[in-house]
Amino acid sequence: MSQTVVLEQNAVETQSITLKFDGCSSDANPSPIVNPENQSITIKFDDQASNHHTIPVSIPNVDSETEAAVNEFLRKHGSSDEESVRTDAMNDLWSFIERQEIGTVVVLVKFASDVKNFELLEIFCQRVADVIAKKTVEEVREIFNIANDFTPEEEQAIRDEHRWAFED
Amino acid sequence: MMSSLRPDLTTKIFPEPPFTAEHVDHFDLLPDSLLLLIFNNIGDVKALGRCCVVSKRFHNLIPQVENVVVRVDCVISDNDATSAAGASDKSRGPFSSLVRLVFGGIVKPIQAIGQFLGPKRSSPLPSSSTSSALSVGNNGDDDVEQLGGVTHHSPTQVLKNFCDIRFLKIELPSGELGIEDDVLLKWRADFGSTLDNCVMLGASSVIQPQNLASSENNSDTVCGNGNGISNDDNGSIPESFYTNGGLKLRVVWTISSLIAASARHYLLQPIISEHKTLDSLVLTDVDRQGVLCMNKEQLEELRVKPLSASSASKRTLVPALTMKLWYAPHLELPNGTVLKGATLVAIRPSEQSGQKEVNDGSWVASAFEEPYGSAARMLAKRRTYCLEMNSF
Repeated sequence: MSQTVVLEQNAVETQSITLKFDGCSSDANPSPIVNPENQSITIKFDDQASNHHTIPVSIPNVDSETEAAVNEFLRKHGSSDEESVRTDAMNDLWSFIERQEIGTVVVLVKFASDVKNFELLEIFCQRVADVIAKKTVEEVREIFNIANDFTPEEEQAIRDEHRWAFED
Repeated sequence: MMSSLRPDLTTKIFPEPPFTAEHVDHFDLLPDSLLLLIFNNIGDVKALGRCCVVSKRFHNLIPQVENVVVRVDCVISDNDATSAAGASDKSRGPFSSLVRLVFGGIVKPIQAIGQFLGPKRSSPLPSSSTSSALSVGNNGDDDVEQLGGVTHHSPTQVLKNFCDIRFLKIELPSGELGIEDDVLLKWRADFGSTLDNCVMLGASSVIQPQNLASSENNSDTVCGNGNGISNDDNGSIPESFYTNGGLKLRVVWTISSLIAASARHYLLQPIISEHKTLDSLVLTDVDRQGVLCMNKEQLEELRVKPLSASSASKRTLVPALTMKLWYAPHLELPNGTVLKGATLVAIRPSEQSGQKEVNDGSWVASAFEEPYGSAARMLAKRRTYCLEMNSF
């Protein structure tokens, strides 16, 4: 199945360039194939699954530094099958994420889920989990802006039920 | 208000300051499935317990967490539960709690053999129905008990808050077996209704690589060839081993490990019967001395076919066993560590051995993390000695 896009090159000569998207190619790098007869240029892209690790992605709602760090991870992680390279990429991303505001990391969790990148999802979820695990109830509410929707009586009842969680 | 987006229609809306970006609940971005994924990465059961208090949404999701780690604070034996005594008294029936072995100090090997293999004592067992156990806090009963002014809670009670656990790891505060600092003793046991297999690795002393720097400078080629066999060592056990107490000591190590493993297995019954969604259960300790593992099939087997308890103590009956033993007086590991008097014992129930003659190397070597996995592999290449042991 191919999609055809027609571009207008300039206003005077309506020379149109037709780009055909072929989803089934195995080429790592898109290379245009020019067909002189109908002046069409075919650019073949890899299908989604094998290539989405290396195409730079744009991440909504995060700053450019974060987007760059994530893309650097994707590039490095996807570039090699070697364990040490991948581990380095993960460690770098992890160090970067630890320095970011937690709100950003939550946005990244959503992003990773949306693009179905499970390595990223694991890293970001683990970071949020680590933050939650270390904090008190009040701190967790404050850091994540969570409203306490229990009445004081309800909260006390739950605290009593879970006394073991508060004893050291 | 962002809370109106939640599916929970009973959420109360409290008066809040005017809506600004800073007051948005970060988790409003995430569906329950992703929040649950985050909770599944927390592990620590106390942190999960605290989460229940944070908000109604958290409170409703936590019971669905699949991955839970319980770090036990202290282990209390039966006798502690019925009397105010702190340290246990050696004279009270040695079978009932291995904890006693630790608190009572290091037991001499000969005494230990007498205690483990001797006739059944007639001393009355404590009338308390509590098992010596695990407490995220306390005793094995569901009741919260006051002990020395401190309130304790059992893991069974704590885990009642979860209904979907698939991966459960319980970590005891220390290994049960009291041994000298230098001695290495590690075991790994897999159980279904009864013991499926157990591997024990021991050494009378462990010398770390940095301590070797000044000594041992001429025999490295002899020992460092990776298969644990040096020039003057044909892989056999030296005669002296049988007479100087070496064999006896190792039998004690083996039996102690089996007792510890079977006691742990016994303690897990209430948790296993209650949590039918379990895929994997691991009971380990902070010292990494012993690891008890049960996979999904083994857990199901225990639910269907209850364990047989040992008559004299709160532990599972250990069946008749066939054991393979390997020994090396001096074993140098790839990372430079040296084990003296290194011993590997691979244990299986006698009635099992006939069936699957699996490649012993694989399940034995994979029992321990490095560097001990290498030690096991090296030892298993040496001459094999077979032992049989009765059920106990």
